[in-house]
Amino acid sequence: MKRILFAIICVAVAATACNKEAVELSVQKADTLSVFASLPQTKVAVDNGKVTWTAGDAIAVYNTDGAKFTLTLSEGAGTNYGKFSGDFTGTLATDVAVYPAAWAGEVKGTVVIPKYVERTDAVTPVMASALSVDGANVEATQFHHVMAIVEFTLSDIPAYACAVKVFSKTGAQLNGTYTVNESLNGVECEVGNSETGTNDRVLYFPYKTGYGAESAVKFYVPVAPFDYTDLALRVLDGDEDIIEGTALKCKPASIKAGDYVAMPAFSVRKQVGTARDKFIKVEGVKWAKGNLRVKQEESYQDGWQPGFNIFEHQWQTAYGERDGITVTEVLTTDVARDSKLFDLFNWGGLGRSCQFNNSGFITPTTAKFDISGRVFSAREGDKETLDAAELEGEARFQFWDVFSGYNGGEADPATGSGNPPIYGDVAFWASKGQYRMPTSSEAVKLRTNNSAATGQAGWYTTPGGDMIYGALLTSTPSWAEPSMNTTAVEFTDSDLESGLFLPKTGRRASSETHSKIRYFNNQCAYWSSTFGSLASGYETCATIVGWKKDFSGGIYGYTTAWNGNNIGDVKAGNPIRPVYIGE
Amino acid sequence: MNGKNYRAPQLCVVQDASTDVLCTSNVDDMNPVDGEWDSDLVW
Repeated sequence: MKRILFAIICVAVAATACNKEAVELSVQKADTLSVFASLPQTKVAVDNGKVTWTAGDAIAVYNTDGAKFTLTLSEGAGTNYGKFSGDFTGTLATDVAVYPAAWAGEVKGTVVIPKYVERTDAVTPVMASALSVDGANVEATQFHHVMAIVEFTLSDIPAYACAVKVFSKTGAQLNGTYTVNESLNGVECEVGNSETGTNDRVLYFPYKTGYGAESAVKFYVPVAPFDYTDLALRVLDGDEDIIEGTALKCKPASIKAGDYVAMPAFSVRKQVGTARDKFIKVEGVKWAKGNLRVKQEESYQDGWQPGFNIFEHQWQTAYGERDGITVTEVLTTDVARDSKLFDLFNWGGLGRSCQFNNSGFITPTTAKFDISGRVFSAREGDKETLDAAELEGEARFQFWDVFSGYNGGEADPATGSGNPPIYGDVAFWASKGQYRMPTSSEAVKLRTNNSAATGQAGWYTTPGGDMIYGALLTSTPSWAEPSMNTTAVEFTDSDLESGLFLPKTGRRASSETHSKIRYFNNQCAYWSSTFGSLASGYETCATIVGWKKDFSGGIYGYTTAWNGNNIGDVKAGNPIRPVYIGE
Repeated sequence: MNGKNYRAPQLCVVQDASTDVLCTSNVDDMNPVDGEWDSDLVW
């Protein structure tokens, strides 16, 4: 039978029977004792400033050798008077106990708050109390607040947000080790430009938290008492970059221990405005919000070559947009493409030549060659030959048609019909410099073996009832590990806003004309701007990134010979998800 | 620690190893404060 130390910590003001003198503890047997050994969840309910213990709460006490022990709440949940229990050895140090135990420092008298903290609905005021003895029991003064809590309420959070950062430009300490000191009003935390911490705190949360106009999420941030001049809040994306418009500054305030500071709620989406309307940022790359497509339009679109644009939605594909067809299956045969809309391009063709397997494509014959954001007057040769043929200025954006009968039946422009004598990045040419093809290094960030983006297989059900299969890729922040889940799930609008959704558009084989789409919803490979030979030294160069029907092998990427007669052949038809060039 | 740690009556009881501790405690309520965003909200 274990011997126990039975200690009652009671209120200094309320416990009138408590004897303040230090006396030796009695020892009782533990045959009726329940000991809670679970780790603390450090939850305390705070309602309008009233604080009560909740299940899972734990405090830390120390012995005189400096070892820390965790005592977990065993009685008193829902009240401000709770009983804590746990293992203890040695001699009890009575000068300080700390709540929450998880943030009690290994050094007695310190509180350690990490820089990265997962957001929870739990409110965690940081408190400390001294201990004393009353006969058989340990007495205690009241648990005093040694920090304040700042409550932030954020509504309508975009799905690509996954953290908030509290920050002080002038260097007020917001993480690290704090020292519990004596003051006139009890105990307080020391704060300042300390070497023991830095000036930020990150509260992270899963993508899609707080998504939707009606949603609101609260963030409870314990901060040390201090005269803050520039306490600020920032909303972060998965790259831990500040989302435009969301760096907000609190009014300078002298925050005291025990303060519960409620900041006015604000809409994150309203703050962001239109700043991210044109791109989805994954692993630092600003991807377009839809695949490149060309359509026989009734009118020209400003800023684009006639007929070209990106799809309005990430899930849109040429085959999925066909009138009169509802596609819900993974196709294993070729299907006819729409005669007025397509989204599969060869590598390097522009204008009419961008869709064919027998003209227009570039054939770099040696070495790695990158066409991102570039247009040339030659289509074959070695790197030096092609580099020498690069065009500059407006010559890069000269018009060459794709369809006849543009512009509501009006005549085509006088020039530019037929197969053009220019070659290069079709996304750059078509958007007149607004977008470009992704480089190899940008493409490989999507590969599942590159320890960068996180992937999820799945499908999106369109308003028209089509099921569009593909992969959703999101940034992997520093507090998470990259992964690829190949079990398909249904994606919602919030999922698609959280990251890059690449639909399985199907492809056109290098031996096929442009009239057919092969394996829609099944196989897919997206072009990058970089073509490498099979020479050694290009193992990390990816001409395409793609995946198989069942995602076996995850999302892969490779380079191949230009005439390899396969999915990576420059004559093949593959989709392009452009990269946004603007700020 | 800066030599200013909170002082309370000292208790020195050496126990055997693997001893359990039971205690009860209460807490202070907090002081509600209305925070404000700076007038130039975006910073």
